[in-house]
Formats: sequence, structure tokens, C-alpha cells
Amino acid sequence: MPVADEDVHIEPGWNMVYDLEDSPVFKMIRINGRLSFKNDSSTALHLRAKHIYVRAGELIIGTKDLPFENKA
Amino acid sequence: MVYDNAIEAGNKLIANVGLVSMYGKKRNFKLTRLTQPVFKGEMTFHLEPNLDIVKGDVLAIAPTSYFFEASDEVIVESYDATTGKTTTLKGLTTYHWGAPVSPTYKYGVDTRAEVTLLSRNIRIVGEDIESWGAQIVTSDTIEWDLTVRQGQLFMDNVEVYNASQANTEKAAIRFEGNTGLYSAVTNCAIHNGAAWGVHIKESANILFKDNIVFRMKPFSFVVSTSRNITLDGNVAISTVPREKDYDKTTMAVDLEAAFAICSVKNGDRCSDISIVNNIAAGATYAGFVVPAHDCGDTNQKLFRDNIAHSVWGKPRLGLGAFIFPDPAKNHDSTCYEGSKFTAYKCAEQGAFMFFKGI
Repeated sequence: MPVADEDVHIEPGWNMVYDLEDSPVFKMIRINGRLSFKNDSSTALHLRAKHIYVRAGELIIGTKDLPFENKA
Repeated sequence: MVYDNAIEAGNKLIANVGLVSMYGKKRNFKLTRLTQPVFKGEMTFHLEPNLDIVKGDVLAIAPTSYFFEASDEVIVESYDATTGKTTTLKGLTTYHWGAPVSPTYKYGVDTRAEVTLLSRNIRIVGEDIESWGAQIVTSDTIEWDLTVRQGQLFMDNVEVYNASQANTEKAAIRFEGNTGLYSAVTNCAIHNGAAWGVHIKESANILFKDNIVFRMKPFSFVVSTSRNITLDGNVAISTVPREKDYDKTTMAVDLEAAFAICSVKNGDRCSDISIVNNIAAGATYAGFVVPAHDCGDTNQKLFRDNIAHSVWGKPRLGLGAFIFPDPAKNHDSTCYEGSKFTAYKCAEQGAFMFFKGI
């Protein structure tokens, strides 16, 4: 599990699902794969970062057909 | 999502040359009206019934006087869906006019205070330590190995709070050099930032529809040298002056505005722009600064069915719309036209047309 001030890389081909109530403050999240927020979570999901770089990937919270229901 | 303090340039940023797609929970209203007048200090007011308003929601109430900052932001304590009675945690800071029935039959426009919802279940929250405000930037890029990346942004029912960088052009939501793919920002609330709300620069194929922009400085929407851009049904409330003045010598039209379309920089050239059904409710200097359309073009969608009110840029002017010759067109013609626009409670002209000898 990455800790505060670390760089987090979502590599190509990875499908990461974020389901934490809270996160450390990451220095950077570089997204080359897919990072989505768990949509059936019963708690609010907080992601903290200084810089999010969506490069060759996707940052997804909810979809058009299934909007995100909890809080993010 | 929350940004934390950072001192490096470029931080507090969602930089997107891939895909960012956020769809929040749908709310059943974008805009409602006060159904009774409400006075300063009161903690109860009446809205339309049967709205999706719950305890803890944050509402923005637009100004109904000349003064552009005479808006309110309140936290709902309770809402009675049967009567529309709404109570808040603290008293209002100013008077707002309301009535049970729209006075459109009398004035041709609904002059009751607009009331909008600022709360969404997906929140992007910035902070302003070290003056680096948060931004969401979508762009295209070519990488070192000539790989082309094209950014695409979809945001629906997302709240963007305390974003944008003070005294810069770095807006809360920026498109810059983004021409490849279609993007859409719909039903979002962008509010209480340090600078511009939205900046679309040298970009194409972008829709902003039914968004609320509240208390941004000194522009809510800016479009610069772009094509195929649609701003439809957006409401910009209390666009306020920035604290620090800026270099106006580089501006094509020296005006702050809720909606500044192809007017901010000398040499701006826009095409296929559509500014329709928007409301500028409280702005300093001008509600809209927009290019004119060709005379007699009754089907034009460049600028139509927009409303501006409560524009009083003391000590500046107070214009509903400042309409100028479209710099993207040749200037052989001396006939320019703005049409299908409504303004009220503007300190100076409702619509002002300026022939600039270009």
C-alpha cells in the first residue's frame, strides 16, 4: 500500500478499484491503466493527491448509466 | 477528492490527456425560484415544492438588485416538499425578490431570484495554500516518441469547489489545446474559486450544459480561439472582480464578464460557437461579452435567448451584453447585430454595441 508523498503508478493493463474511506496525500498518481471508484461502497471514498496525471489511461467515477451513488 | 498543500509549480492538478469520466448522482432540479420575497436576516424562505433538496444541501440565491454581489449561499436545515418552505442554518445577508407566479407575462422575463443547488455527491476540492489553486486541465499532447494523446473529459453532476489559481488565467476547469475528441461538462456546480471558472482555449468540440458557476473571479466562462463550442443553459451567479488588476493592454475587449466569448485576448478567433439559454445573474462590468452575428440572420445560434441582470460594475460600467464585431469574420460589412437577448437591472445599457474599427 503506498504511503503519503509517494508516487502511485497505475500501469497499462491494470484495472484498479479504489475503495478506501480515506487515503494518504499522494505526491502524484500517474494513470496509464484504469482507476475507478467502487460504486457500491457503503461509505464515502476520499482520494487525496497533489497531482493526478491521466496519461494513457482512465479515471472513472460512476458511469452515465450507473451514476456514482455514494460520496467521493 | 481533495488536494493537499504543495509548493511545486504544476501541482494541485488533474492533468488529463487520457479519459476522465465522472458521473454523480442526478438531482431533479438545476434552477428554481423564490416564491416569496425574503429579507436580510431571515432564515426561512419559500421555493417551489417537490424539489430534490435535503438537509445539508448548499443553495445559492442570485441577486435581484443591481448589485452583482447581492447573492447568498446557505446550508439547508430543512425543506418541506409540500409547501417549499426552506429553513437555513443562518440568516440571509441581503434581500431577494420572489413571487408565487412568474412575472413573465408582464416583463417578458422571470425576474424572481434564481435559486440553484451547489451540492453534488462527487466533489473535487482544492485549497489555496501557497496560492496554487486546483485545476482540471484537459489537453492533447504529442509525446517524445510521437505518440499522440487526446484528452477527453466527461463530468456530470460533479461539484468543483475552491479551485482555480488567484490572479491568473488558470481556471477551475480548463481545456487547452484540446481539439481531438468530444468532451462534455453537464449539471455541475463550480463555485467559490479564486479565479476563472471555465477557460476553453484553442480547443474544439466541447459542450457545457446546465452548469452552475457561483462566485468566480472575474470571469465565469471564457472561450478563446476555439471552434465548435456550446454553452447552453448555464447559470453564472455573482461573477466578482478579482482583487488584483491585470494587463488590459493585451485584451481584445477590456471587459470582465460572466461570459467572455472570444474577447479576452487580442487576436482571438472563434468559429461555430453557440451561446444559448444562459443566465448571467450578477456580474461586474458585463453579463456577456460576445461577438455579433450577421445582420438579419434570424436563425443564428451564436448568441440567443440569454439573460443578464444585476450588473453593476461600480466604478466600471454595468452592461447586460457588450456585443462587438466578430473578429473571425471579414470587416467589409458595417452591419452587425445582436438579438434575442434580455437584460434587466443593469446600471448602464442592457445591450451595448460597439463598432471597433478593425
